[in-house]
Amino acid sequence: MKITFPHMGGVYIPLKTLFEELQVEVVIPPFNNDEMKGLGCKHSPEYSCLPFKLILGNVLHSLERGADTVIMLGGSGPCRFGYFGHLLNMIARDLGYRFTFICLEPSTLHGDIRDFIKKVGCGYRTFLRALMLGWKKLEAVDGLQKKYWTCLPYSRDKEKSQTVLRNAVDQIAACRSVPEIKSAAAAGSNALDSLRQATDSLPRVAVVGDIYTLNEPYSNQNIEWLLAEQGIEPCRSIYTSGWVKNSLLPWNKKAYYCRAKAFAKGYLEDCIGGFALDTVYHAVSSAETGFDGIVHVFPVTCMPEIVSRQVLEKISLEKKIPIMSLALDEHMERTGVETRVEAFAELLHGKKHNVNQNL
Amino acid sequence: MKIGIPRTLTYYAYKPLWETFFQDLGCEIVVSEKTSKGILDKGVEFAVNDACIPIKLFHGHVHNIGNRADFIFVPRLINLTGEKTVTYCPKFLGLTDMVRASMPDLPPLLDFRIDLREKWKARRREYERLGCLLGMSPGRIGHAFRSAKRALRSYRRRLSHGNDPERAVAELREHTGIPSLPSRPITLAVVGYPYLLYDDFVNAGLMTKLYNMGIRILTPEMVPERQLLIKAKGLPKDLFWTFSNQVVRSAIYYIDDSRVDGIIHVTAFGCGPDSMVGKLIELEAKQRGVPYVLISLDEHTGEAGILTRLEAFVDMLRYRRGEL
Repeated sequence: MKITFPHMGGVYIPLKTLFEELQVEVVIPPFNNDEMKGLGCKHSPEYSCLPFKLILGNVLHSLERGADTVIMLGGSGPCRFGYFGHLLNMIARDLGYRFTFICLEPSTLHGDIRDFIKKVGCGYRTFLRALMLGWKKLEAVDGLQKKYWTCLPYSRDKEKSQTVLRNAVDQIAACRSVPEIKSAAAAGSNALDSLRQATDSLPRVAVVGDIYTLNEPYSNQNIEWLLAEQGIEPCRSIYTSGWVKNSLLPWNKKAYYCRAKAFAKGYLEDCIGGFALDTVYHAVSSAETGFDGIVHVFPVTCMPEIVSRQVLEKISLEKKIPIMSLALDEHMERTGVETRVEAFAELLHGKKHNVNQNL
Repeated sequence: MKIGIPRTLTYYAYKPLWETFFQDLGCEIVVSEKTSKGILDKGVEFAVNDACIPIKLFHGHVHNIGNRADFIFVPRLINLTGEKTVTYCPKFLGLTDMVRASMPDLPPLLDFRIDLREKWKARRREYERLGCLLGMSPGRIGHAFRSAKRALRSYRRRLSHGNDPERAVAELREHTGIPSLPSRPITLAVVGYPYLLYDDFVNAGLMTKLYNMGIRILTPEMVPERQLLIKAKGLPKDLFWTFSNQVVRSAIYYIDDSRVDGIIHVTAFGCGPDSMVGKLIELEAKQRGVPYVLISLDEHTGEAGILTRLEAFVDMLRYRRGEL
């Protein structure tokens, strides 16, 4: 069995660990690039969102490289994500690929995992141990990323910070046990800290939106990097590990949604699927906790985020916080995003230093 | 008391239900005017530019009745079928919030939310709550609710016999002098959402054009409910959206139907669910060798463009039959 899965930021690290611990061969597609995008766009429906196109590109590329099993997460809507797996299965079969398709649906999760374990031929204990190791890695990588983005705007040599982060992530990815992961993460964190320079505090911006666009730098034109280059501290609202903790674990789920709904009251009264409620929640909470601005990223034609985008305009007016919305698709050019980020950064710096009260 | 109902989106599917309900309660109903350029322009002004044309139109329709009604009815329909994972498009679910966020000077919106998954008899309770909001007695509300349900049933029956919501097909044929159908007419299944198929402005007169060409039209509403449920089993997983499920299932029904010469899928530019629906229908039609065309509508859709595409498609079907 040669298993493959699509990319979403650093998710490949825990998944690779999980499958390798179970002695399953893994085919990881290259990081998202123009080739993946081209491949995905060629075969996906015109109005599907950029995440679907990239995911399809990843899967087709891996199938071409000899993968024979595709694993995907399902969902129960009403965001389109829950149907991605089935649609890409149909598209790939229509193109003539033959493979096993495993879709982890929330309703049949236990059965799916049981079948998978049976197929792989490992015990439950091995599986759980591998899962735990993967989870720890995901947490460590996300923690490091968080640290990285708070340090990056303050570091003079940004390229060096990037190299430090990459090395640390690679180290974590190579770990075989939990203590190793912890020490690798701590070392990486210290290295990042040492590059930080003491200056005046910079404007902070919350980056909100759907989980894929937030966590996959290729799909958001590396917006955080662009912000950091302009001397703005980006703060990503949803990390994959945080999402798993808040929205997947049944004992946290209810409290999280109650909190989100309380914040979103008056703006978005219902959970309308996807990450709309999360977006509105994070926008309101960051407006109330002293952030200087909000950047909203989402794929073109994303249904929930279009609603939240319209609602964000009201939040912007009522909470008096500048919001920049970026709808991203395969035609987005880097220069266009850069120009908008520069203009936005100028506005925030101006506001912070009271250069122009009218801004 | 005047209740404003926007003439778009769910209006075409549930109009007699709400109209009868409010009329029985003694309210006056103000339905927005038929879609026009002015309404569209207003919609574009108020709605966020990433939204699809039906959502923009909805804003336009709400604006249209804004100064003529005491209350505006913007229902938040979440689940009306009882199927566990089926709701409506997220944009429908957030419609109330969208309207509230972008249109400040409106009469109060009637708060109305139905989710049949939550509790038993949620529908009835919600109508009772709505009636109480308007200050009606329980007996009167119950009566209005029952007659509204009856009205919806007979409306659905009429739809399933091929009458479009605004006027019966036969009536259309009499008044506008459309030639009667030839003995073996080309039969096309026109699948799409009710707010696209039955709004003559948005679809640039697509249905009328097809009638004029002497084509028999089959719509999703004409497929018996039971058949839809049978066809649902052929899909790997149900879609999450009520209208989309209807479209996909009826399209598959028509693909299997030997009377049908071709499928026209009408969609709105940038429609999220339709990117999935369209591909599913396309793959299915390709497998069975049934001609399929996708017509996508947006703010700039012109009559000539639609007509050319329809004519080309119909000519191709005639050629297939050996009539050309």
